Amino acid sequence: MTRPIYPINLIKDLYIKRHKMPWDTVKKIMSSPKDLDRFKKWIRVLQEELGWEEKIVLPIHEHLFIVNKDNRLIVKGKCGYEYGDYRENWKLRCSIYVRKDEDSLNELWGELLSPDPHWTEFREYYCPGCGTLLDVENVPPGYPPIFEFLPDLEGFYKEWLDEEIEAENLSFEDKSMDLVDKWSKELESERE
Amino acid sequence: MSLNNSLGVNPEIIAIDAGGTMTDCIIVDSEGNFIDGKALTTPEDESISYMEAVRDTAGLWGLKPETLFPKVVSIVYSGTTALNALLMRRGKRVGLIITKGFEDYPLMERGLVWLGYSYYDRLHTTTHIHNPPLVSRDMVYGVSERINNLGDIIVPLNIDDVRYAAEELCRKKAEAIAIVFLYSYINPAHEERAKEIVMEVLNKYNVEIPVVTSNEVAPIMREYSRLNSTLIQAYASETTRLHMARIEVSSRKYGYKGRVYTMTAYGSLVSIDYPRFYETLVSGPVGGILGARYIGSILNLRNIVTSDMGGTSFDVGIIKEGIIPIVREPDIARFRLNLPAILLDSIPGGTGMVVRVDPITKRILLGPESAGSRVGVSFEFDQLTISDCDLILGYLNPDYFLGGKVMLNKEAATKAVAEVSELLEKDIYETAYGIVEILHSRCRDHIYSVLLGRGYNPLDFTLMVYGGGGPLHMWGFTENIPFKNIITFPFAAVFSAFGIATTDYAHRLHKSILAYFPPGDDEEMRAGSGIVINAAWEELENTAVSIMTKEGFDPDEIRFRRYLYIRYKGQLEDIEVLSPVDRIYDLEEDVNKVINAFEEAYLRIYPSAAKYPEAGYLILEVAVEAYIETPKPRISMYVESSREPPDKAFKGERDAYFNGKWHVTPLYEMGLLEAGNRINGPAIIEHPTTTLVIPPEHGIRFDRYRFIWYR
Repeated sequence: MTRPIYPINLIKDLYIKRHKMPWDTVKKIMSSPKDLDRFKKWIRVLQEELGWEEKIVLPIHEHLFIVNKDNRLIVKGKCGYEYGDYRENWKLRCSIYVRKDEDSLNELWGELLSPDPHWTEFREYYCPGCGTLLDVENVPPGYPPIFEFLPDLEGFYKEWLDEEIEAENLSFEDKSMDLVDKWSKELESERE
Repeated sequence: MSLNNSLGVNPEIIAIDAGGTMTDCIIVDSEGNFIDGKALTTPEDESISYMEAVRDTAGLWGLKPETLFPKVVSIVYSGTTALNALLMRRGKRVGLIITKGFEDYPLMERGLVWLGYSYYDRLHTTTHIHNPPLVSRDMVYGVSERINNLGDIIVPLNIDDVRYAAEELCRKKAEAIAIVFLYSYINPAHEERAKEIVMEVLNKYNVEIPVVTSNEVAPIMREYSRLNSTLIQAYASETTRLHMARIEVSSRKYGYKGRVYTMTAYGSLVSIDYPRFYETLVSGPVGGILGARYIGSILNLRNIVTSDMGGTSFDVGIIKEGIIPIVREPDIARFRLNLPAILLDSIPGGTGMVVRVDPITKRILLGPESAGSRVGVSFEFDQLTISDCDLILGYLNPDYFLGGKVMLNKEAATKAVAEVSELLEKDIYETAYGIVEILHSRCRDHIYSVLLGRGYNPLDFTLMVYGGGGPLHMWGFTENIPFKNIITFPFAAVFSAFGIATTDYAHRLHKSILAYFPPGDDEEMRAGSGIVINAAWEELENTAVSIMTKEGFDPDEIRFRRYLYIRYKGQLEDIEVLSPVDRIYDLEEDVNKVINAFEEAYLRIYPSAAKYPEAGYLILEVAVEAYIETPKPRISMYVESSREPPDKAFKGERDAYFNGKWHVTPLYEMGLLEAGNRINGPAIIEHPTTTLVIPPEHGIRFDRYRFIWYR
């Protein structure tokens, strides 16, 4: 009574109805403290709605989820596309369109209104599975893809949910550069 | 208040304060005695709850509507229809004609996406949102025209644009048309011409709908709030007029011969024919501060702080030297408006406030939601509220809430508090006391910030406490604030309706001008500014007289108060100054009087080092208040009896919790206590509509008017 309690159906509506929920309800949820078991409820809703066999470990994006597949934690898209190890930046495996010349930038802003391509470029990341635009990065040319979010899954599960998590690739380290290394070596050997 | 049931009474005034939950009614007789009653508000047709409330009240004098209404001289009704229409977006289908390039203004709203939010939510930008606009984008038409800030025509009005817009709006079945052009408050020529063209088009198609221009509604600078005022006048005001007309008709059915009046946000009465009806958008809470000023005039108190605690909000108002301050750009229903309104600083804080605990931080969160008439878990609400805490601490009587009309469930309240106390690992009563103390300290801080923010000292002020929850929590929210006096009233719960009955019939008109008194004595500049100010006052006075004459008043009875809004040149904010002169005749003497009045007001707020006469004095707005005095309730005087309260008033004892201890607390019946009685705490005085709590080491005294002085 004094703690906010959200029925599972309301949480389900947050997922299913999304932008169609009455604003008053949404605002009330946003302004109130969360219920203690919200994370578990949310995972339950996602698991039911997506109908996946793999257990969802953590949602990291509207379209992307870390799931446990055969005891390995991987990133999986809503459409079913699998991105690979969760410690590698999923952006590396996206279909990428880069706007780095005047013509492609002018498509967005029009002539004389575009930013200078010597200073900046726009990278659009699309899901290879379904073509959904996942993110747009605006960085100086040559800047590495930004790894938005590497979660400390072990710590999160232990300290906040009071649960153990098991998987063979569980560690809190960024493996993106290893992947880039691997790919560049492969490329080199191909060239040779 | 006298409750004589004689049939010889002469009821004179009916005053109604219709809130979202309850409709309060006060009936005043020719002697000034009054009675009060209540009914649940029926928002779909307020004439129903109006009649219910009147019937409920009149019954106390043994009167029926048939015998009551023929005797009544004046009816004042302050309602919520327009506000509801606005909140529920149930107004007219409005079309807007606006200066070209500004078509998206109703959507952009000057970026004010957090209006009406708690401080907590203001910080959470993810919750910020634009209002659903009052006019849909496809009903907005831009027309070429431009008048600059000096009133010169820079781009002439494109008549074809206007005609096209009007034709289109006709085709799209607009139910009202608003016309808002930039700088029309300086030069209304384009708006007036556009209105003529629109009327021509409407006549051609035989369409009869209201056409509202911004210079008629609010000829004041700041185009965004002017736009909102004009839109709301077109959108909601006619609906209110309809409700008011229903109330007038139902009163006349029972033999009432006069008009039904309503209240403006700046605290005056207007009849239902008043053109700028949007000014009556909010008026209920204003009644209280007017009642306080009236009582202040009886007790000869010039400096008053008012505090109104109801179920939802805690409103603090200030009367300084008998003058009630006015704000000109209030935020109402998440709109910023150009509307003179009595300044009330409001925070969520009332007996119906919901109590929650943040599960992570274990912090207690109050409100802002309120249980309203459903009280709390002890009655019909599903969450713990302040009232529940009041109940288990022994302040409220479970069998005498609203005079016993509502039974409160103490067990349910105890259980709900126990849940919180378990989480906090504290004693249950200590927890309830702590929750109530959070409310008290929040209200205390609010009173302090309102007073100190204006540079006032509580020692110079008398606090008047009213609202249903006022007497119940007065002891807490006044603790350690060194007010000169603290007064509350047996009729605290219907104080706003009482205040409405004390209101004068008046109109307040504002106009933007450009006048400047430079430093030194530049005769020419002074003369020019004097002419501008005099002309503006004269224009406003003439408008007021013509409106009031149409409303049936004798022009000779109309009196005026004139205001100037003055700042040092270069400042962003100005200060309202009640003009000490009727007109500026003498460029030396009269101008100096005005300047002195301004600097006196300025020094009340800022230190004298902030004075900056070298910049000169800029006046961008003037106002005129035209008023006619109306009959008012008289406060009966009694012979003071003994200090000891009469035995019949004593109704038993109950345990009440103060400061970590239970005290055996005597109970009294408010209606049976007499003038001159003194009661020392701990004590609780019960009344059907409110409860007065007196903690240990404090006491009260009934003066000869039966007002209650707390110390």
